[in-house]
Amino acid sequence: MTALLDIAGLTAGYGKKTVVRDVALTLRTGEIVVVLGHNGAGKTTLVRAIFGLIRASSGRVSFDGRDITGRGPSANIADGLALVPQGHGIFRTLNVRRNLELGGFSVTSRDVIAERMERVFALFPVLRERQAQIGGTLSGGQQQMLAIGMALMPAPRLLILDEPSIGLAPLLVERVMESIREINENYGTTILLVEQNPRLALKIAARAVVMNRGAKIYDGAPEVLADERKLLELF
Amino acid sequence: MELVLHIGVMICIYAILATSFNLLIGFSGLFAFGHAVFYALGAYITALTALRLHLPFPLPLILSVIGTGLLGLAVALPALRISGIYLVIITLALQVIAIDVIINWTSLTGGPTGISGIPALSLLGKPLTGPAVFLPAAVIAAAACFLIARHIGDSPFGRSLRAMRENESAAASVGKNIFYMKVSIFGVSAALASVAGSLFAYYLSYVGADSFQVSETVLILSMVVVGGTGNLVGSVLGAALLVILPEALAFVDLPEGIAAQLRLLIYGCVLILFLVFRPEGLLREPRRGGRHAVAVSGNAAAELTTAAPAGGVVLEGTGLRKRFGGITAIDALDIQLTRGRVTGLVGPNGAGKTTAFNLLTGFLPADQGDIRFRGQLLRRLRPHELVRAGIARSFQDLRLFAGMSVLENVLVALPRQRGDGLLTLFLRPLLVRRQDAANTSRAMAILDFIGLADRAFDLAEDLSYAEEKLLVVARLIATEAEVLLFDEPLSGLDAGAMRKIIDLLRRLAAGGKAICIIEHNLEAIRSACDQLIYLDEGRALAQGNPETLMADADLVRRYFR
Amino acid sequence: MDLFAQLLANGLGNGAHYALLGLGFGLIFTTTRIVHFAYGPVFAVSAFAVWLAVAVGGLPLAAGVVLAPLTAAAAGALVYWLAYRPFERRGMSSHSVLILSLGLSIVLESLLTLIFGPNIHTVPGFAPPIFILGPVFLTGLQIGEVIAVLGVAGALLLFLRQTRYGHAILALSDDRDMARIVGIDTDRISLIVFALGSAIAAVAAVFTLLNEGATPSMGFNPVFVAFVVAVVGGLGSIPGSILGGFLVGLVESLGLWKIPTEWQNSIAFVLLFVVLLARPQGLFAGARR
Repeated sequence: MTALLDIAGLTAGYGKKTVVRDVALTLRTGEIVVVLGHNGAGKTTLVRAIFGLIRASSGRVSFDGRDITGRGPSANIADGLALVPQGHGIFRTLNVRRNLELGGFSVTSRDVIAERMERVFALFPVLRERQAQIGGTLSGGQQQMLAIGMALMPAPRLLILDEPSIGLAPLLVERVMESIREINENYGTTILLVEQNPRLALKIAARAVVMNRGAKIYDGAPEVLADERKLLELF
Repeated sequence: MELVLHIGVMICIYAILATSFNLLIGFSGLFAFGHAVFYALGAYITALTALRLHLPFPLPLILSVIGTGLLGLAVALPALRISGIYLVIITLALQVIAIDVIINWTSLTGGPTGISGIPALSLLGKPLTGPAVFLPAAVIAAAACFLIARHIGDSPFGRSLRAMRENESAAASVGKNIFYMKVSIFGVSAALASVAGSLFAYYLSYVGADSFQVSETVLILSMVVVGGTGNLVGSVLGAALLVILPEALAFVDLPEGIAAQLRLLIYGCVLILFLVFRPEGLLREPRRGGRHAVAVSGNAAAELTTAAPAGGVVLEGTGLRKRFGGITAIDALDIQLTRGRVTGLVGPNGAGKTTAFNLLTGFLPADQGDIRFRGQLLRRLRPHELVRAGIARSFQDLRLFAGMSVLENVLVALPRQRGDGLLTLFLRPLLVRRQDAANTSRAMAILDFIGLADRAFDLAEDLSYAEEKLLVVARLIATEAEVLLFDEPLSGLDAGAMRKIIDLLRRLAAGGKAICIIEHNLEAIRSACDQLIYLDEGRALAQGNPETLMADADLVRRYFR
Repeated sequence: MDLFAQLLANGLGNGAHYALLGLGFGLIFTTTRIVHFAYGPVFAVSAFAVWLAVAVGGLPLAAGVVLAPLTAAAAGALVYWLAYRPFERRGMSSHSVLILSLGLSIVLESLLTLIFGPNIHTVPGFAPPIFILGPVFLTGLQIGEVIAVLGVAGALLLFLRQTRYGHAILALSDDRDMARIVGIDTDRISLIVFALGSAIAAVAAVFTLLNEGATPSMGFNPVFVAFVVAVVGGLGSIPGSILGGFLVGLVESLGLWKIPTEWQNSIAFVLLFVVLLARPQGLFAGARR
C-alpha cells in the first residue's frame, strides 16, 4: 500500500505560541490510525494544520504524493480530505437536510448530492427520519452522526475525526466507533481518528500514535497500548 | 502668537478628555462611545450655573464635576448588563439622544443657538479673558486631571481594572468586585471629562450643541488610539498631535465650511493610518509593577507550607443533583473536602467533573442538595464574594491576565487591598503605597515559592505552557483562600513539570489547605491525592484512597472505555 | 381618528424604509459580525450616483435608479475588500475593526462633503403622484417603498433558500469555522454579502433622494436606525427585520400623536436603548428564516 498522507517536521500553533512541534506521520491508503493524548497535547492543532484551517509555521504536508502545505480547506476537500471537528461539527440553526447539503458544498451536481445523501442515510437511518429537524435540537449522538455524515458528503479519501466520542455515553461511543469502521471497510476511506479515550479507539485502529506536549511520543501497534500498564506509563 | 496660545488651551482641554477616555477604554476595556456627552454636560452645567445663577468660580466647576459624575454612574449600569459592540451601539445611541435633548430643550440650553455671554472665569478678582491669561489656568487643570488619572492608573485599583479588561470572569474569581469597578471608573472618567467641559465654557464664554456631536467622541477616541491605549502620556501626545495637525490648515485660506470638513478628514485619515501601520499607538502600554528586583519577604514560602493540623471538613456537598435539560449531569453526589488533604475527581469525559466544581463553587445552583462551608450552609455568593470567603477555583482554560506581567497576575489576586477602594486611594495614599510595597514583596515570595521568580517581569502571554500552569497555581495561592479547586492543573505537562506542581499541591495541603483537583493522568493522581472520587455519568461510582481504586480493574477499564 | 389613520399610513411608509435599511445591515452583520458604520456613507454615495446621473448627466430617472444598487454594491464590496478583510486577516480584535469602520465613515462622509458641498441636492422636476384614500394622503413613494421592501425581502428569502451562495451565507452566519470546514470560501461569501447588503440599502437611498434630496450626512441616522431594526427584529431573521422596520416606523409615527415633532428622531434611539437592555435577542427572536 502507498502513503496517502505524509507529514514531515510539522510545527504549528496560534500567534506566538507553538502547540505542535516537529511531528512526522504517515498514513497508508485504507488504514485507520488513532492519535491519542491528553487535553492540550496538540492533537486538535495537528489536524487543523493538516486540513489547512491554520497555517503551519514549518514542515511539509503531502497528500497522495502532492505537496498540499499551506493550502486552504476548500482545495483540500476537492482533493479528498474531510474533517469532523471537535464539539458540534454541524450548523445548529439549519435542518438536517440543509446540513448534509452544506457538507457537500464542494459537490456541484444535485444528482451526486442526492446519491451521497442516500449513502449517509443508509449508514445512519435515524438521519433520514429527522431530515427536517433543526440540527441544534438533535441529541448529542445524532449530532455526531450528522457531523460525520456531513464530512462524508464529498466522498473523502481521508476522513479526519477530532474526538467524535466527546460527551457521548459509552453505548453511543461504541456505535460511533462501529460506524467509523464501517466507513473504512465499505468505502476504503482512510481514517485519522483523534481520541482521548483510548479503549474503543484502539479496537478499530491499525496503528496508534500518542502525543504529549505537541510532540509524538509513540507510533506503533495498538496492541501494545491495549495493555493498561503501558497506557498508564504513557499517559 | 494669539493662535499658538489658543492651540495650547485646546490641547489642555483635549488632553483631559483623552486621558479620561483612556481610563475607560484603554485601562478597563469598556468601549462606551459617549464621552462627548460627559464633556457637554460639564460645559452646560458650568454655563448655566455661572450665567443664570451667577455662581462664582469654583462652584460651577464643582457642580459640573458632581452632576456629570452622577451621570457617569448611571451610564455604567448598561455596561454591567451588556458588553462588546452592543455597549458601543447603546452608548452611541445615548450620545445621539443627548444631542437631541440639548437641541430641543430650548428654554434651558438655548437650543441650536446655544448659550453665549458666559461670564469669564475670574481668579482673585481678575477675569481670565483671552488665551494668554487663560492658558495657565488650563495647564493647571489639565495637569491636575492628568495626575488624578495617573494616580488611578498606576494604583492597585488601576491594576484591577486592567485585570478586568484582560478577563472579567478571572478578575471576579480572584476577588475583584466587577460592579464596583465598572461603576466607579465610569463616574471618575465622566467627572474628569466634565472639567474639560467646564474649561471650554469659561474659555469660549459660549456653548453650543455642535461641539459635542458623535464626531467629537470619535475625535477623542482617535486621540486615545493614536496616543496608545493604556498609556496616559500617549493620550496627551495624541491630543496635541490631533489639535495641532489641522491647524496647519489655518495657513491656507479656506472657506470655514471646507476647513471644518478637511479637519474631519484629517482626523479620520490619521486614525486609519495608525490602525493600519501602528495599532499600538505612539506610545505602548507601559510595563507596570516595576522592572527592578523586588525584595522577597522570606517567610512566605515557609508560612505557606508550615505543617498545620490536618483534618476537619471545610467544604461539604451532600446529595447534590443537577440536570441540564433532559440530561442528569450530577446525581446524588456527596463530596467532602478536608483540610490538609488533596481530593481528586476522576472519571471519563462527560462524567460531570467540571459540573461538580461549578456546583461546589456556586457558579451553578444545584437543583437539590446542600453545600456547607465551615459548617455553615453556603448561600449563593457572587464569585468575588466566594473567593473572599475562602473558596477559590481555577479554570481549565487558565484565563490568565495575558497582557499583564507575571508579578502583576499574582499581585492582583492578593486579598484585602486597600488600594482597590477609590476613596482610600486618594485619602490615604501613603497607606496604600506601603501596603502595595508589602504586597509586591509577598507576590514575589509566592513566585519564588512556585519557581517563577525569574519570569516575574515578563508578560504572562510570553510564558511557556508549563509556566502558565504554574502561574495559575501561584494566582490561586495568592487569594489566601482555604479551599483551592484546580480544574486540570496537570494536563499537557511533561513529567518534570507535573512532578513540580504535584509537589506544590502536596506542600500546600501540608500547610493546611483543602485541595480538590480534576485530573486525567492516573499516575499523577496516584502521587498527588489522598482521596479519590470516581465519577461516571454524574454519580460517584467509588470513593477511597488511590491505591485501592486503581487496583480495581473494572474501574480502570471503565475509565479507558 | 383621521389624524390616527394618517399617522398609521405614514408609519407604514417609514416602516418600509426602515425595514429596507435593517435588511441590508442585518444581512451584513449576522454573516460577517462586522458593525459596518460605513454603511452610512455607502448609502449616501448611491444616492449621489443617481443624482449625478439624472440631474447632471441628464439620464432618465428610471436609468438613474438602476445605478443606485450597482454603485452601492461596488462601494460596499470595495470597503470590505480594502479595509475590513486585511484587518481580519491580521487577526485584529473586533474592537479595532469597529473603530476602523467609524474612522472610515468619517473619512468617506467628509470626502462627500468636500466634493458635493453640504447642501441638499434634489432631482429636478420630480414630483411623486399623490393618492387620496378617504381621509388619508399617500404619496406614490410611500406605496412604492412598501412594494419595494416586500419585493426585496421575497427575493432575498428566495436567494438564501434556493441558491448555492444563499446556502453558503446561511452557513456562514451560523458558524464561520464550520463554514470553512465544509469548504466555503468565507472571504468571497463576505464580499458578496457586503455587495448585497449595500445594494439593499441603496434601494432605500433612492427613496430618500426622491423624498428629501441627498446630503453627504444623509447616511448617519440610517446606520443607527438599521441597527435598531435589525436588533429589534432579532438579528438574522428576515421576517424579523421587516416586522422590526414597521414597528419602529409605527412607534415613531404614532408617537407624534403625543410627542412634539422635534423628538421624532430620538424615538428610535430610545427604542434601541430599551430593547438592547431588556431583550438583546430581539423582540421577534424565534422567527428564524
